Amino acid sequence: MISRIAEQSYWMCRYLERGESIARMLLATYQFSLDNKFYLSKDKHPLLLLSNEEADFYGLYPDKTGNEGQDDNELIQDFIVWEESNPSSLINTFKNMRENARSISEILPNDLWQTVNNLYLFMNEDYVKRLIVNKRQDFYKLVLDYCWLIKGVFNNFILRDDYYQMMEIGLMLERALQTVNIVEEMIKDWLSQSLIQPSERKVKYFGLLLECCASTDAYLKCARNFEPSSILDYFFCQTAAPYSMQFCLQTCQSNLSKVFTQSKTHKRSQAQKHIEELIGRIGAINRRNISLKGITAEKNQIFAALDTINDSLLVDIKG
Amino acid sequence: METTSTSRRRLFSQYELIPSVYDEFFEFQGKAHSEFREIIDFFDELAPDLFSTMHQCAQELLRQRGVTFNVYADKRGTEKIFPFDLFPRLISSEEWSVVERGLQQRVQALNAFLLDIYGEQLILKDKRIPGDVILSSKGFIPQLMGITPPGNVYTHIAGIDLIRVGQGQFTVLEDNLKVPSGVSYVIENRNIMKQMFPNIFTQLNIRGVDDYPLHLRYALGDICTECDQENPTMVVLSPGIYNSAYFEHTFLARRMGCPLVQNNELVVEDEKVFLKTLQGLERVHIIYRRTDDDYIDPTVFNPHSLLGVPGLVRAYSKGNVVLANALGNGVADDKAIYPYVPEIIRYYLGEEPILDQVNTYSCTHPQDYEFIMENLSSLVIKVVNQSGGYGIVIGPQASTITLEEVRAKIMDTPRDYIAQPLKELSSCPTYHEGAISPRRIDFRPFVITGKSSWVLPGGLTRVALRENSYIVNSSQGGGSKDTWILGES
Repeated sequence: MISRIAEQSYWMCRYLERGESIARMLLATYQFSLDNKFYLSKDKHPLLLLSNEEADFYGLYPDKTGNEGQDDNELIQDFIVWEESNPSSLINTFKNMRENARSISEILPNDLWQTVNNLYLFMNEDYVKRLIVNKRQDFYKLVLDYCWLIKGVFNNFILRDDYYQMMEIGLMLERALQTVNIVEEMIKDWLSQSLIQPSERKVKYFGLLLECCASTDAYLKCARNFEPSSILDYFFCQTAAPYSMQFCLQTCQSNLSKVFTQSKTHKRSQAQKHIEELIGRIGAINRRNISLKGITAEKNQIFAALDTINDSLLVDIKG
Repeated sequence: METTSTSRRRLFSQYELIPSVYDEFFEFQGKAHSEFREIIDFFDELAPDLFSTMHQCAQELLRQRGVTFNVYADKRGTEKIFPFDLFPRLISSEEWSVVERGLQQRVQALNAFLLDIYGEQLILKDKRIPGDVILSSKGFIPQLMGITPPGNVYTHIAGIDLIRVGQGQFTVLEDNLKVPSGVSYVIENRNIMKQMFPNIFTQLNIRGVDDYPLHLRYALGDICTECDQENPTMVVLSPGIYNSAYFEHTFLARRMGCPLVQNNELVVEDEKVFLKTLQGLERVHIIYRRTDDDYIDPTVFNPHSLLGVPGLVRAYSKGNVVLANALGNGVADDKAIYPYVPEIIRYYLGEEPILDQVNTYSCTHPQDYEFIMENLSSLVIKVVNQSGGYGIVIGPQASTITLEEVRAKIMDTPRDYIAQPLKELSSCPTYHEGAISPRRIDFRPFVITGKSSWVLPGGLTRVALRENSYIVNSSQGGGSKDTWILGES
């Protein structure tokens, strides 16, 4: 395995997962807003909350509050989708995905390269920018369709070699990051507002969380309620749930073992070590007595651990 | 396709031939070449609106497939779609058999020439061609004297540019023996045509081009004595994503089933070449290199090269790695050598050239020099070591100032220039900006040489999209067409 190709394979899939997560979040919050005219935090728009792009948005629009009705709502969505100065915008995310794919196109099945390229071309079509104005939901669904098509081709056409393992690691690590961000932010937000919110809103609010994490149907098969503790149980400990931390990290661990077992130097992957540590830490998280402070600290620790895993993986790749 | 009613306009109803120029479709106004009648009628009966839509679909397919090239002169390095025209060039099987033999003969002779020039130089000792022209060529690399490539093959891949002149005879315009490119577009163009016109392909016997990458893989494997010839370790060496032909590098690497690598991923140890992998060093036996000689090894050639592999030439000199194409081909690629190729064929093969070539005047030859200087305005002046259509001055179309500039340059460094009479490249119907009109084309077939040579039954037909232009190169606004070699019916 050539380290340059391994790294670009990894990043291609991180950007793919990131783009899908952003698109899903946009669709879920948009659909939520059609049924519900409330946001929990008066001073935080849910999209900015979940996307971690508050600072960038207010840097560009210092006069905006983000909560002044439909115009602000659309402005924020457009910022997250189209803003070229926003490195995490959807258009930049797919551009980066495509650039990485182009750099390794010789190892990708032609169909995979084409589907990636088609998504990129779609995002850059003029008619799409008009589509989002009038048919926002359709646009988000189309983006998701493209992402799912890419994943379908990925899962079915690629040789299960080291590059495939690296791609899957990219998908899983990004998924873990997105999941922990969404889950912890929304629980934190609920906790900060729960005393003043009618309890019937809890189901809707956590319903939105599950939609953002593509986990509604799966969650309903596993859990019986919409308490924060059940949510955390599911997303941190459920090994069969594709969007749970345990599932993501264990998949990463398994893939890393496959890649580094064959190494002639028999050097252990540093990333593997850090993943094991994080799996242990997540299992030990107190999911019963959840506090606002605790959740914030927890999220920061997990984020830091995921960053460490990413950094040590890149060191492992460079050999 | 349904036959049009007599009231519907036919596609070629407004097509006007260029006077005195051979047209690939029409013998004279309104009369198609009889051997291609069926195909031409098929196109003629397409509704113009439908054809226009199909043309747009074809460009969109290319865009979706990412069939692009970069232009060096464009600092943004923007990917550009290689414009594609739906009207194919047509070649009969009888004509092709002559071209095929002619190409094999030419490449065989040039290969023998290279072997000799870097060996005993018998052709020079026998004074069959002027030594000073050869030895002064920038493509001649003295450091390679005495080094014989594996299998005695220098020209693993050759792209020979042909044009039709006069009554349609194929004639060699120039040889590309260093890093000839374009074959990926040949294959992709064919994929587009099969998608656009599947019925034609089921009805006619059009020879396929899809297996080129495998032919190349097997040919290189055959001459590698160091490796398991069933499964040699082969890589494609690319300068990287910003190279103009990067699409082709990835395409061929994928289709040949070998990794695409950059220079810093290769290392030479104990005069052998290795690929750096996470599992350790992996021996490399064959490198299909898309990097020019000058940049390939900074310890031997350009010391400032950031694209080379230190020690690669040493490994090559020991026979431990096959480089395709071999080092030093530039001397045979040099346009100043071109006038002597017929003699090269006679000398090494004892045969007369099967394919004619365009008459070429050498600025180092006193009589030619005088002729060139007196007739600049009617000649095509070319820089001997340029490619991509750059540096060409077409006398009849050039301004007085341009002609005077090139005159001064020739006087300054005559070795760097050759001149050819302006040949009327043949024309072919081409759809451009909503109209179908004749545009000049040339043709680049590809020849693979391993233990024997094989000619791809097809090639890249390049088209000058601008009216009255003779420059077909993609970097200067040219496009491409599919080339159909009709098999035996």
